[in-house]
Amino acid sequence: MASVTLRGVGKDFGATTILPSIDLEIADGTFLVLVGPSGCGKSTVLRIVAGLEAATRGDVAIDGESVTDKKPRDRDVAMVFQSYALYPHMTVRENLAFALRLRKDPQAAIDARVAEVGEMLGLGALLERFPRQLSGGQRQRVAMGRAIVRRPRVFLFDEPLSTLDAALRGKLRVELKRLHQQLKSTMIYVTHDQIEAMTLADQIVVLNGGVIQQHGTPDELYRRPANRFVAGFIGSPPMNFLDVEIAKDGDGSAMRAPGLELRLPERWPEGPAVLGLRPNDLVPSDDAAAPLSGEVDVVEPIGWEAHLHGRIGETPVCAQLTADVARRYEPASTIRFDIAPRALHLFDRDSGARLSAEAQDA
Amino acid sequence: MEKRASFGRQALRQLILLIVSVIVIYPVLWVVQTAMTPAQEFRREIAVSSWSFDNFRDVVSTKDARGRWLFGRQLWNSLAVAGVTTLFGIFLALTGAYALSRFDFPGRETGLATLLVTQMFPGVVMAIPIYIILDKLKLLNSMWGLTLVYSTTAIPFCIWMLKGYIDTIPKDLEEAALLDGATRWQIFTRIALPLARPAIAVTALFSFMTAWNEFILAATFLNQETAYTLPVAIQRYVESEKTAWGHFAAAAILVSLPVVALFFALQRHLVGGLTAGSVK
Amino acid sequence: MLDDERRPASVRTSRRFAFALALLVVGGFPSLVTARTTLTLWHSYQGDERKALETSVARLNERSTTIRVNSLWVPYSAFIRRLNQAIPRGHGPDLFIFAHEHIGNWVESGRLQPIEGAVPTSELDRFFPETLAALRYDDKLCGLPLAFKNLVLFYNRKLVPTPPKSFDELIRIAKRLTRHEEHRYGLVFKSTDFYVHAAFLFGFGGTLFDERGRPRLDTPENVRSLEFVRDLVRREQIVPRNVAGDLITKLFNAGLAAMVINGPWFLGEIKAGLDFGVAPLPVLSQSGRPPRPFVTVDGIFLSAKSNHRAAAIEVMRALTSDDAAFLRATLGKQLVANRAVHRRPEVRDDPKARVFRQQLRDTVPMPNVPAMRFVWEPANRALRKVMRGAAEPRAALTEAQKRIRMLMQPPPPPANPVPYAIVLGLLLLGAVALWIRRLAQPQMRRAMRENRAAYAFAAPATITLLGLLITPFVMGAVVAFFAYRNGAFTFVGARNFVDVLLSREVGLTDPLSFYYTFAVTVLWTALNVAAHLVIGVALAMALRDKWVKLRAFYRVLFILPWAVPNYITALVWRGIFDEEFGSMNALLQALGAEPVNWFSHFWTSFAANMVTNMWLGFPFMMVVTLGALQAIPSDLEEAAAVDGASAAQRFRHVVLPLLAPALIPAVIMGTVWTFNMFNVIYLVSGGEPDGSTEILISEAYKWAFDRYERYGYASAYALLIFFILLGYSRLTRRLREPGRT
Ligand SMILES: Nc1ncnc2c1ncn2[C@@H]1O[C@H](COP(=O)(O)OP(=O)(O)O)[C@@H](O)[C@H]1O
Ligand SMILES: [Mg+2]
Repeated sequence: MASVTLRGVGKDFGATTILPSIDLEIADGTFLVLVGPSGCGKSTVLRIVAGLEAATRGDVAIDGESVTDKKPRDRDVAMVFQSYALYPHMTVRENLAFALRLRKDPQAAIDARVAEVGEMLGLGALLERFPRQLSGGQRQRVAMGRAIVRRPRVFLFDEPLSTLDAALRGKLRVELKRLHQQLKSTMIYVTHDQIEAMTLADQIVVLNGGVIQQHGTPDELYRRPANRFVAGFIGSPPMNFLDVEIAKDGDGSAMRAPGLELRLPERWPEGPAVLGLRPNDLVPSDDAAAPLSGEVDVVEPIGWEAHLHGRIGETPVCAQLTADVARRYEPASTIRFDIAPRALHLFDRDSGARLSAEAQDA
Repeated sequence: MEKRASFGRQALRQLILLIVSVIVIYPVLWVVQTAMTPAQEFRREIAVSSWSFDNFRDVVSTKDARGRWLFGRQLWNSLAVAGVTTLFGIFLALTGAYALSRFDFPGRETGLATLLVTQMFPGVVMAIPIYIILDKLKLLNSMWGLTLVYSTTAIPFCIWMLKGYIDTIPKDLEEAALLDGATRWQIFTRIALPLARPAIAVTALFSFMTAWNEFILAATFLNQETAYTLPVAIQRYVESEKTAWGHFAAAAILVSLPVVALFFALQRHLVGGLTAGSVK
Repeated sequence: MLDDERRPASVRTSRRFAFALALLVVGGFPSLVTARTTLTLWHSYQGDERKALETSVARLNERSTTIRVNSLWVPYSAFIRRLNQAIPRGHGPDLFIFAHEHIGNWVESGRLQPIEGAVPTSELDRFFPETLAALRYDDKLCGLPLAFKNLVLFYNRKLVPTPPKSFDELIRIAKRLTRHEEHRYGLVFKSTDFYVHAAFLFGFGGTLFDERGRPRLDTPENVRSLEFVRDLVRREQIVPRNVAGDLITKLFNAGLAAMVINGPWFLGEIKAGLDFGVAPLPVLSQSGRPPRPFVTVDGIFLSAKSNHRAAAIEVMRALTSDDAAFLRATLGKQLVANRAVHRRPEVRDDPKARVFRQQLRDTVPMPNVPAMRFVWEPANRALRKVMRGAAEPRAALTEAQKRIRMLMQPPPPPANPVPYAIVLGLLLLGAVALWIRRLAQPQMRRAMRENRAAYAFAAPATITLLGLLITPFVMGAVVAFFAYRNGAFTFVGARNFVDVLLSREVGLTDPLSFYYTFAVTVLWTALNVAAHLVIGVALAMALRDKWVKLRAFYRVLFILPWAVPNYITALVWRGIFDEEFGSMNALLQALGAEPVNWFSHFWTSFAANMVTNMWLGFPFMMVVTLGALQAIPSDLEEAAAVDGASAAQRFRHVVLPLLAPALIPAVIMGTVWTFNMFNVIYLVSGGEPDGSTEILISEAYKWAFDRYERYGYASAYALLIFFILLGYSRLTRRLREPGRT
């Protein structure tokens, strides 16, 4: 059980800076997901915490105690690798027992612990097998078991589900969640898959280009993305973005774009901006005064819901509708949408930062 | 993949394989036949008129003036020198290859380049300096000196090969072990070493062969006939005024057998161990 | 041993008892017993000769209370090299037994101490004076003779009832008995071996040295002797042209050779039951003199570094005593140098020994002066040329003389080491400065600190490689700047390189020239590597598919050549290519072709080397290819097949490019190894004919060890080899490490 603190942690590989400076506070028992596109430096952060990679600058502390200069094995953290990194020449039992053996636990204690963890993960029947004799899901479970056996202070996961098929991934996600509830340990989980992040996390950190974009609960990130990047990254199908012009309009503002004409009661900063709309916030309307109008391209039915792909002005958009509603629209027909006022996200055209309405309403 | 080749193509392939087999086997059969022919002469027909193991008996029962069983001792010397060379060779090559594969340390590039360069050293100029160095180290006349020299000869190639193999072992495994609490040395012995077994087998084979087959240095260093290795002893059959072909052939078979056996025992690993690094 | 059996049992037991007591005493009171002086004796005797020698040594050890002799058999091929290395460093023997012809060199280089005056003249009287003469160098006696060897005439009594007295008579008889179609010859001897030819040369009054002791071959008498033998071979055609290997034995034993000129070793090769006689060489009708063959004497010599001169001389005298000699004569079947032994009935009554002894009077001691070593190669070369019909005797000897002059060039003058020292110093300084600069960088120091474990892992291999591979190489390389003469090195600067590279001494196309040998080496390497590659890849492709019948069997079989020790392979192939007995010629004859004398023409000799090396080298490429093939996903080829590519196109455009990453390093390694493939060249062709199939590495070896101990010259060769290979690997670096510059 431990908290993890990163203060000004940075990493350069040769002349290239991968992480400029990361500050992060992870409370004890948190399931923190580090999410971001691949190559953004997530694994590097994780490996710095594990001690596999030395930080170029900054400090890592576990439970308030700096571990920056400690060797990995003195940090008491466990890591589940993307490749699982199971020792191919050891049986499942030996894999699980390896760490305990190294620290010279009594054999009886090792046996008991391995049995216990095997039980917990349903590995009982597989203990004498070699990794190559296991399926992907089983290997994944062994890799987790190997981490659990040691009762580490912190668990680190580096995209542990990415090599599995979708169905298995869903199932293991649930297992992981249950495991966290059971163990109540601090866990840092790296993934590029925002669904995993949303389903698993207590806290999400979105990373892009080595810089933290936003840190918050899944709900916060979904509802108030801090910038256009986070907005586009979290949520599926992804948010639609329209370039708009905002002008003064009496007390409020008016937002215009080809196919868009919307009055807003609040006062927003004038000038060019980007409007973000989640596909499920686009509500088809027969009202000719509805603020958005566009043309239907393709309708994609997915069981009870459907994705309607169309264009507003020249910008492609996607709307998430129920299948019943979607059926009413033919390709090339015109469609109009209503927008709930709370569903609007506005971002600065240049910096991508979230815009907010001016003070009076805030 | 594709369906089997046509009958004609298959037949052609088998024919080629058969011809190569004959070419490969012919000299071997010739040696066997010569060894089995009692008279000490050079024959060319493959036709064994009468089988005889006299040549083998003569070679194996070689004794010296004091009645000591020379062949036995020389066989033992060869085995001991080759065996210790193999152990040395594996140790030196494996640690060296591990460092080159797993660490990015200043000097690594130089090391790699030097390994390749040592393959280009012409052995001719080195015999005398080696003699002088072993003399200074007081290792002349001893099995240890030879053993060291042999393992050194074999290691550049072995390191090169082992490094290629270790490169293919995922680094993850070692990092996992690091987190599991293993020291560098434990990782080396418990993870890298068992996983590199095929390449180690090949290293062992080459080290063994280097030591087992060498005779020029051995004939210069060793000061007792009971300390000679077999290849030195075999010279006696080749260099008299008249080559004792029957004895030579019998001795050649006896000397070759252990290496051939080792080769066949390890040939499964040969393909993987030798090429893992370059094909990844 | 032998005499043990003749003694009554009681004596033996009591002696054992005494011995046990002695052991006790020695073990219990070591200080009371004076240690025996232990002497080491090296020899390369084998078989019966060895048994006889060892018996004498054992007897000596039994009798003497103060001396103990340890004898060591050293392979003949390693003997001189080992002796030359060991004696100067104090690891040599006290005594050694060898043929006498090297003593001049040994004395000059301080390896042998003469024993002039150490043995009473009266005792020296027990040896034939001819054998003592052979052991004198610079007017000093250098050893004591054990045995002598000279040539005589052997004849098959069935074909030649009485031996000819003159060569005219011999030619007459021989002509009658020669039938070329049946491979019958009247006379057989190695006409291309100067050792044999010397008999005729001296018979015609020829000489080897001028009045100032310099080798001189192109004298009229020498030319005449060569013309005479040339006529025997080419005009009378009573002697086979090329007598290599064991042809003499084979022909004589088969009754196909009526007469043979050969030495005493031939007695042991003649098959039992053959009715033959020996006679002195018949008188040369043209000169009216008998041929005078060389006599070589096996002597026992005293190392210059022996600390036990008195004891050693005692051993020399004991081992050359009449009794010891008698043992060697009877058990060892040697022609011993002791006159008295030849008077004992066992030897006296042997008519063969008598003939050799008789011929001994008409012999010339093989010269033991160092200059003699410059004569052999040019002389043999001249003989081969003449017998082949490629040159007239006079021209051949003139050329030989030129060659001798070239080989005898005095070592280059000493050079001033100062400029070299300055350059070297500057280079070292630069390297150190560079190093310090790098060390001064903080990130460098940090990287080194972080990788301490790496240095620990790399240390054992680094230390041994530095100590036993790199240091010897550097030491060897340094020798390239020195000239060696008589045990001493003088600094000559870059002169050796200049000599090698300018090839001033020999024409560019002469096999002795660096460039000629380099060209051969390149050809050798290119052809071999190409062949290995083609064969290896072809076989791997043939064995690739799982359904190939007997696939596992073939795969195992085809690595066999790799498993057999390569020196054995080389010797076996040398046998297979033997002109008379090798199966290659048997095959040719079975196919109706003429047998080929493989080692007498460049291309056939080169081909023999090639075949041997191809045989032993293809498995490596095959195994590498098999490994690489495993890693090629079959769907790529399937895709190409679907796209309509033929098998050849698929191989060319899909398989080959994917094999390349594995094959390129293998080819580069293979090139380096083949370039330096010493064993095959040395053991198969041995450079024949006339050193033309030599490659650089074997040529360097010959300069150092087989020719004239030109260590500096050899080392310059070796360094050049190294730089050529280094350049090659630099050139191919792009290929080897794609993506790196
Ligand atoms: N050892 C290394 N040397 C140089 N660059 C590296 C190294 N490891 C990672 N990188 C680079 O750092 C960036 C971040 O890598 P990583 O943390 O693995 O990203 P991800 O977010 O996909 O896990 C990538 O651009 C990668 O190329
Ligand atoms: Mg990653």
